[in-house]
Amino acid sequence: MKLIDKTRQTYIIFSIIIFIVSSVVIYFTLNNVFTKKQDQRLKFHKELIEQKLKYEYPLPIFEVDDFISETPIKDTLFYKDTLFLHIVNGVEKREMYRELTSIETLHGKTYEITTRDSKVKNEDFVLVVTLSVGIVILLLIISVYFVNTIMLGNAWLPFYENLEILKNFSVENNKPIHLQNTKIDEFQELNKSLIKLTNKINSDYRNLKEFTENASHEMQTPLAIMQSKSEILMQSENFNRSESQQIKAIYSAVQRLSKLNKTLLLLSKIDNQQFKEKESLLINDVIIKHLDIYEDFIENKKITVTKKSTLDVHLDANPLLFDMIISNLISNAIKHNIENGNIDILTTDLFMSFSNSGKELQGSSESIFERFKKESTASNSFGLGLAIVKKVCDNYNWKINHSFIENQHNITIYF
Amino acid sequence: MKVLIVEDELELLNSTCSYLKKGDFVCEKAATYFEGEDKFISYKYDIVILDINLPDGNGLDLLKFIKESSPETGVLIVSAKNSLDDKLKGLDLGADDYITKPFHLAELNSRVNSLIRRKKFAGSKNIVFHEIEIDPDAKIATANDKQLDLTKKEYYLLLYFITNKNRVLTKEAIAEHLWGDNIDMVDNFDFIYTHMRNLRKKIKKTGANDYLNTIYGLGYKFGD
Repeated sequence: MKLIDKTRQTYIIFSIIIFIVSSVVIYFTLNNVFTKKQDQRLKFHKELIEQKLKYEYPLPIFEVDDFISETPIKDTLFYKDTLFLHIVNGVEKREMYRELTSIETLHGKTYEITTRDSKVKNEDFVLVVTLSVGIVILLLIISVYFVNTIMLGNAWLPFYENLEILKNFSVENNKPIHLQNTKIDEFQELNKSLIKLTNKINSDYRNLKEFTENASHEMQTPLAIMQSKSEILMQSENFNRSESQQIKAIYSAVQRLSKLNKTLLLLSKIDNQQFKEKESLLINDVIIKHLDIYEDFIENKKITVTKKSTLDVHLDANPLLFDMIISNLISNAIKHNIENGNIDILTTDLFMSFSNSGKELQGSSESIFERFKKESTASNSFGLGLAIVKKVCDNYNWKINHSFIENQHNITIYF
Repeated sequence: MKVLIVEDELELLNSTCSYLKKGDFVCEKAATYFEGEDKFISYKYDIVILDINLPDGNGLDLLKFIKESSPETGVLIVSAKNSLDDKLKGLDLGADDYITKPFHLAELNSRVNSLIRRKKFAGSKNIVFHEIEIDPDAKIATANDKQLDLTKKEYYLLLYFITNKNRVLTKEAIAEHLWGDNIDMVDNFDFIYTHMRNLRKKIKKTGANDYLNTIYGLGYKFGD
C-alpha cells in the first residue's frame, strides 16, 4: 500500500468517526439546552397558575376537577416528554410535548397543576442547526481531504521521480546521479545521503577497476622477463630431457598466465571505456578476414561455412573491439562444433547471427556469457571469449542473445 | 646491422640483447631515456627497439627525436599497454612496428628482420639459407633453384624458421606467429605439426636437406 493511500485511509476513517460523534454531540447538547429552557418556561407558567390559585381564588379561567387520591400526596415537580393527540385541519396528529406535573398544597387543598408545551418547534430547530453544522463539517472534511491529496501528491512527486532515477542507477556507466530538488527537509536529507552514497559507490568501483588495470599492467613486465628468460634457457643445449621438459612447463605456465592477464586487461579496458576511437567497418570484410585466420581449424573439423548477407553492411565501432567480437564468435562456433558440422553466418544492417551445430549446453543460455564459464573443463581456454563479446556489446548498447534449437546454437547480436 | 635497445627492465634488456646477438646483429643497450638519447647521438643505428614507458621520459618523445634526426632508422615500439591509442600515436610519429609485452623473443627477432627487409638495408633482398632462398617481395621460396609450391601458412612458417635459424621455437610462439595472439585455441597444436610435415615433404622433394629438427619436449629448430 502506498503511503499516500495509507494516510488517506486513516484520514477517512477518523473523519467519519469525528463527523458522527460531533453531529450526535451537537444534537444532544442543543436538545438539552432547549429542553432546559422549556422546563424553565413550564415552571414559570406553573408558578403563574399557582399565584392565580393563591390570590384569585376561585379560579376564573380554569376548570378544576376534584378527585380523591388514596395515597397521601407530597408536593412534587415532575417533568416528562409525552405524546399528545392533536387535531390540525381535521387530521389527527400525535405531537411531542413537554409536560410539567406539579402537586401543590394551597389553602389546605391539594392541586395537581399540569403545564404543557409543544416540542415540535424545538425539535425542528435542533435538527436544522445540527444538519447545517453537520454539512459545514462534512464540507470541511471533504475539502481538507482534497487539499491533502493534492499537497501530498506534490510533495511525493520528486520522491517517486528520484526512485525511478535510482532504479536506473548503474555503477557500470559511472555517472553521478542527478536527483530532483525538493523543498521537504526529510527528502532533501535523503537526497543528500543518496548522492553521497552513490558517489562513494562510484569512486570505490572506479578505484577497483583502476586497481585491476594497474595490477594487470604491472604484471606485464615481470611476465615478459619470465618469458624471455625461459626462451633463452631453451636455447641452451646443456640440458637433459627431463630438465628441458621442466623449463618447457615453466614456459607454458607463463604463456597461460600472460594470455589470461592480457584478456583481463582487455576486459577492464573495455570497462574503462578506453576504446573510444570508432571507424566505419564493413562487417563482411572483418568476418572474411577471421574465417581466413581460422581456416585450418575449420578444415580440420570438416565444417561447412555458409555466409549470407543482405548488402554491404557498414557499422561504426572500434576496429580492435569488433575484431575481438568476430574472432571470438567464430572460434566459439568452431570449438563447440561437431565433426562435419556447419556454421551459418547471417548479417543484415539490423543484426548479425552466428549459428553452429553442436551439443546442448549444460548451463543456461545466460550463463554462457559469464566470465570463466567453460563447457568443457578439459579445454585449455579460460572461458572468457563470450564474456568479452558480451562486454563489448554492452559497451555499444547492442543486445546479444543465445538460443539452442534443433541441435543448432545461435548467437545473435542486434545493433 | 646495429641495433639499439632502449628498455628500463635490465633483465628483459639483457635477454633481448643476447637473443638478437645470436643473429647477425650488433646490439647496444640503454636503460634510460637519457642513455638512449646519448647513444643515439653518438653512434649510428639501423634499428631501435624502444620501450615507451621509461623512468625518465616518454619513449614517444625519444621516437620523435630519432625520426627527426635520422628518418631512415627503423623503430620498433615495445609497450606494456596494449592500447590502440599508444599504437596509433607511435605509428603516427613514424614508428615502423609495434609489439606488446610480454612477447616471444623469436617474434621480436622476426619483426626486426622483416623491418630490415622493408628498409632494404641489406644489399641482397633475398633471404638465403644454404640451398633454400626466399624472395619476400614476391613471397616465393625456392630450394635447389626449384620453386616450392607452398601454402600461405607454410610460406610464413618457413620464413619464420629461417629468420630464427638455429634457435629453438616453441609451438606457442609458432602458433602466435601464424594465427595472431588473439587466437584462443592454443590447445590445438596439431595444425602446426601438419604444416611442418607438409613443408618438410615439399623441401625434401627438391632434393634439399631437411633442416627441421624436432627438439624433444620443447619445439622445433631450423638449422644444421
